[in-house]
Amino acid sequence: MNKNRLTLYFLFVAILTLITVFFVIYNRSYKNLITPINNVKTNEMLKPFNPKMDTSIIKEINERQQQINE
Amino acid sequence: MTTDYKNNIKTEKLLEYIRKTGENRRLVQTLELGLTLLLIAGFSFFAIKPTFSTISTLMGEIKAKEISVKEMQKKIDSLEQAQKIYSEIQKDYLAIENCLPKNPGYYNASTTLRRAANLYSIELDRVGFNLKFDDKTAPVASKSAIATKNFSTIVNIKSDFVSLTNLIDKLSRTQRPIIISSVNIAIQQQKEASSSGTSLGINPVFYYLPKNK
Repeated sequence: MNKNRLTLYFLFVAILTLITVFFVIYNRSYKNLITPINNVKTNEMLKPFNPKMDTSIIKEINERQQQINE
Repeated sequence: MTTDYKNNIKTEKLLEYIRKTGENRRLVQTLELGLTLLLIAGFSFFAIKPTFSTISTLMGEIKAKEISVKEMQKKIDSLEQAQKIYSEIQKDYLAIENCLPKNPGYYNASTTLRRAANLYSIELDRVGFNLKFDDKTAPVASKSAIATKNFSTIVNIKSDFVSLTNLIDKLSRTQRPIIISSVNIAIQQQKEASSSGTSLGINPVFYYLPKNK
């Protein structure tokens, strides 16, 4: 009876170990896959910027007097 | 009677033996199963894990490179577009510089005031500068608007009302924006009727770009 119980514990520990190992493998692999992608996404150098410029204000500036003549 | 008893004992022993043999076989099978699982776990940890780790690292790096190439291309396109727009507005650079100079341009400010006053025959012999002035109430287009510095001038003049209003109108249309934060108008009555006039006190505020911007 005692032997049977020990064997069952042993089987239980073996199954848990296997699950844990698979989980560790999955976790490590996912981390390895995601980390470089996230690094690129958060890279300040690669952040897009808006190249469009509001040039209407330049027109407004040009419409104003450039110099006040004496 | 004795024979039956002996037979019974033999049968019980046989049954006991069969039961124990079955139990032992189950035990051995369970142990084998447990050991096999542990072996698979060990093999996974020491063989599959490094392989998967390497493969996922390489895949992640390839994906990251693809993304960075795409983003770089977008940024290069944006840069080209910005460069094109910049080259288009370069001819207006002088106007922009006049509008918001890189230095305070105190002389330029006083000249502007003096010339505007001269246009309406107003004598402007003194212009005061308030360099510690900080216009917190200045209208700001948006939060993304560039930070500017400013200084205030103090102008007190005497002339007729129409010339003074024309002067204010003129100052409000200069290329370098002038914000007149306060206007004080007072009518001065003197003993001689001919010398009566309107006195005007204004505080035009001039803006410029701070250094390193």
